[in-house]
Amino acid sequence: MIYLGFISFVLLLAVIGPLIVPYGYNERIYGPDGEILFSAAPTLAHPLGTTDSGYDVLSRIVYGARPTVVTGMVSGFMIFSIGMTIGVVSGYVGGRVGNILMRFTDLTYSIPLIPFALVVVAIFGSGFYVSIVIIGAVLWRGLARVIRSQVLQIKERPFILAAKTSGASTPYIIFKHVLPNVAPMGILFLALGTGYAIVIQAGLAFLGVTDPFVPSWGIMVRNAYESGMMSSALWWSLPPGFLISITVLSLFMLGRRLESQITQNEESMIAEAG
Amino acid sequence: MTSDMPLLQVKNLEKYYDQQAGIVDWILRKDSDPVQAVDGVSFRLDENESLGVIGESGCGKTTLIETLIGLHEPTSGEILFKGTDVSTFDKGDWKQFRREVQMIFQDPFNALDPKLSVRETLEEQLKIHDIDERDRRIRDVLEQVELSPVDNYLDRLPKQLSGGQKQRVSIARALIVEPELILADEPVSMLDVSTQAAILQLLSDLIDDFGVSMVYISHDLSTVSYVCHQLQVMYLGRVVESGATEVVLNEPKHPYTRALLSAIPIPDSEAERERTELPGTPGDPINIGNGCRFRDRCPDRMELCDKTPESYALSTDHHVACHLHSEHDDQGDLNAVSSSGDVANGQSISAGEGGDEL
Repeated sequence: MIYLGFISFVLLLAVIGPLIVPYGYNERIYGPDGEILFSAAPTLAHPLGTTDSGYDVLSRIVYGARPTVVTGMVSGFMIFSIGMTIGVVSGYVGGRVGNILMRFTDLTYSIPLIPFALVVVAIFGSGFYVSIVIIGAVLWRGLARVIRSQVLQIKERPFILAAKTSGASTPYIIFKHVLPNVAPMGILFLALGTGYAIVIQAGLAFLGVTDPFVPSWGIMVRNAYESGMMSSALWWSLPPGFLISITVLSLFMLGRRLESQITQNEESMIAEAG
Repeated sequence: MTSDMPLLQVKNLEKYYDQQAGIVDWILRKDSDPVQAVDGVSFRLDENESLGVIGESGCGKTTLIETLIGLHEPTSGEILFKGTDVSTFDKGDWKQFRREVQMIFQDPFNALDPKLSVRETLEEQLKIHDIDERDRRIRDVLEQVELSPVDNYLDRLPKQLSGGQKQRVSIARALIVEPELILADEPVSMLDVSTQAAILQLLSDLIDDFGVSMVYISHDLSTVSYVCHQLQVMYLGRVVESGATEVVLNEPKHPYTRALLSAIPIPDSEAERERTELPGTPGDPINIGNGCRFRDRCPDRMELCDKTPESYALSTDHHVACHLHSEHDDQGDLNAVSSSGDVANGQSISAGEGGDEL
């Protein structure tokens, strides 16, 4: 419940955050004496203080929810769609096609994500969306393997044979019988993958592989690190890091919760049937 | 019985599986021996007739049925459905075939998609074959399989049904498209005994009242007399004995059939009979070469058994593939059989009771 609440909160911030913040994310804050407030400690007017460039930390954090959510959604969508397609097709069709797809999956498993991202950025230039696409283009591999094994198991069950012997076409069987039965596992891995993508994206931001002008939480940690004030300006360096961790943790827990709820539902239905 | 065109005719059907070759075999370029799951099975099935295929686990029954329905390509041999070889079917023929031939699976717990309700499961068949009046048909078929009141069951998921109810739903799924041939793969083996009787009764009513034909596969001889007119006994991929059900059950000729029959319990603690003990287990049907496949376990083994026995006709309706009966004169039979004659006699009583149910 608490996790669902936190995820909803982050989503809400992402949607309306920029409308409610008192300051822009790159708006310099001036003190009462007319001077820019560089790295000011928290006060009532600026509950999380300011950065070394004189920006309001709280406002930047609120702004940072949106890139985080976009990262999660875009790479989550990529992970889910690529992973499901490859997993289901290679599992169900099998044979040569399945083999080629799985060797391709093995190939992506051999890609070290961060060095790969560095190379891609060197070729295409750094950018917020480039970093997300890199993540989505690699992280589907786990989902694909798990879904494939599930499909291999399901396709030998008699109800699939029954559908075949009644003359159902392959696409029909995949959409009607296979997908609904692997969906719970797909959703769990969607949640895990989204969380993982957010962590990786923050990592890439910290390394400077993404657009430094998008005020994501990862970029904030990077800025704090580069200013050399990681330990002296804790009000600045810690909150974005914590937020990343809590968001990802909530996603993981939510995914597990969903999965166990689905299985529990099925068990209680068995109990009903006696 | 013998119309010109049987509903289903199988000629010398063979289905071999290639074994997965290990890497060593692959390097040595050694071909592994195929698994001879079904080897030279022939039969004909006329309309409104039912054929039982009996044998222990691993004898190729399920492979036979899955080959018949087209889930596997036969290695060789012909399957003629209404006189047409299924290997010459085009897409439209297959669709027709898939409607006219339906299968009932062994495991009711896995035969229904856990995500679909009873209504959706049945409706799927009608959608695939583009049949109208769906609601009425679904209600009718559920009444037929005795799931009533129908409204109680329509929206249940498989999880909310008992094993017997699930099997009824999967029978309903087969019936709803009004098939001409039903292939039943041990439909009662996973149900408890009281449910078994009800399902068997339902199946035999189907044959009598709705004019469907059926191939019924089982390892349990005590159930076949309920449903089957004809019987085939399989051992390791080959048919060892075939004939009318009463004939095979009352006068079993093949040593293997006798052993199977003597394994049926007689519900009488006083009854005494000699048992035919079968030592060992059936071998793997891999590289078994020539000769009778039962010879290693046969109590009546002879020198001759290293030669593959042909199928000898004992009467027009009773065939056995055993050298004991090669002369098929009764005198020779009696001598060879005398040792286990008691078994056959003891059996005729209990099988006769089952036969009455037909």
